[in-house]
Amino acid sequence: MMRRFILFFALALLVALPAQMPAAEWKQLFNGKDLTGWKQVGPGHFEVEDGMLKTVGGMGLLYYTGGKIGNSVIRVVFKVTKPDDNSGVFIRIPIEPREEWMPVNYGYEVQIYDAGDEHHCTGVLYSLTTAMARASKPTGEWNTMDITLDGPHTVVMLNGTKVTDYTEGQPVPERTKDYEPQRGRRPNEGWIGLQNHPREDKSDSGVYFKEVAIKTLKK
Amino acid sequence: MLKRSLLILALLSFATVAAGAEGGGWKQLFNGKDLTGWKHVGPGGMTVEDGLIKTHGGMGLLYWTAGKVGDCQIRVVFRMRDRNDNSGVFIRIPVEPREEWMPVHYGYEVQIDNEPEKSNEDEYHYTGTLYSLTKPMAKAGKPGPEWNTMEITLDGPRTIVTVNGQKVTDYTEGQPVPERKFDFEPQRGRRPVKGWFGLQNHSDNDIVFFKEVAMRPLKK
Repeated sequence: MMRRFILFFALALLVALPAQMPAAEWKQLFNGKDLTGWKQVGPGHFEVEDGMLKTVGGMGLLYYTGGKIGNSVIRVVFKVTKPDDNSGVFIRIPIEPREEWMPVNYGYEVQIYDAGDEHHCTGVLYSLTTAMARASKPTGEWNTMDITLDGPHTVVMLNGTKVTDYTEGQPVPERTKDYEPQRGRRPNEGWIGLQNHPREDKSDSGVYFKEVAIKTLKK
Repeated sequence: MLKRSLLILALLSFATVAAGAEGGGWKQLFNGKDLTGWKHVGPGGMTVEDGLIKTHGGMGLLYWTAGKVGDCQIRVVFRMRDRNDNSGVFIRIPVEPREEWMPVHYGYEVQIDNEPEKSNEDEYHYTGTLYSLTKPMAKAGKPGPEWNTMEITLDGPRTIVTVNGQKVTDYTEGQPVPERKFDFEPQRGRRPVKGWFGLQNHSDNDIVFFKEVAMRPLKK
């Protein structure tokens, strides 16, 4: 009886382990309690509220201090509280940020802004790519954005729908505003961060992040 | 008598060549004719007139496109149009510039400005300093239209600047610097051992001419 029990237990473990593996590959970068591992540059800041990161003021960014990231999937789970809330996820920043404009001009911002046009809405590389879909959940609901950095290839999935599929060197529209990013190639690996950006009327956006995680791409 | 004159002339020529830019392993980065090998970013621009690079408007910079430099000396021969004008030499820029502010915040500007007090700036903003970061060891800048020779030595993390033969700056990464006073001053923090470099055009009112930009590797 005891032997059979042990055998059963061992089999159960074998079955359970593979199912657990994918979840275990995600590394949580936000601990749900404080800003350990993150640093703010530029105006405004982030607050931790009920286990979530909340944007205040801006424009600035909270970057992950663990170094450059490439060949990975970055997952952010976020919600907005008004349709014109503005935020974003910076990726491919070539050097450690000290202020807010180098990340704009030398990295990419994966935009979070449901009120934007097809080049400036949630899930596009801000001002550079055309949204393949509008995939945001209604205001107030949680969205899952998966950003895949595969060498020079960037894919953004929003709630399971592909919004961006861009490879370095592909054509982009001309720069039309002085706050839009400078054009040009971005590196395969870069620093990442979350943007805090006020609304058009200068009030604080109410964008919340409850999860920021990465996992290495399987090759 | 003639022999002696010839000898003197020969000796003088020799001395001139040795002191001149062609000696000592210097490589000329400005060809005296056009801006081949250089690219401008930011407002304003640069032109070549009478064999000189001339600044227009700003603030922007003309950077050398061949890549990062380190463990070398950069020599710049410049003059101001008026008694005083503002310009500078950017060094240790970590990535290829696309606009004018990344070089300010992540590189250094070796300043060109003999009268910083006229723009409410202290001596940390004087010709030959790392702009806003180092105190001048000497005030050796000559007013326009006299020529100045600036030599910048990049020795690993150590930066030495001489102006007209006098040492103005000797700074090693990590040494303390003053707090940032103005929002146009550079962000503090370490700069890389190797970087892109360029010449600053500061504003419509600040016209500076460069007649030589040269580089040679450090002898180790």
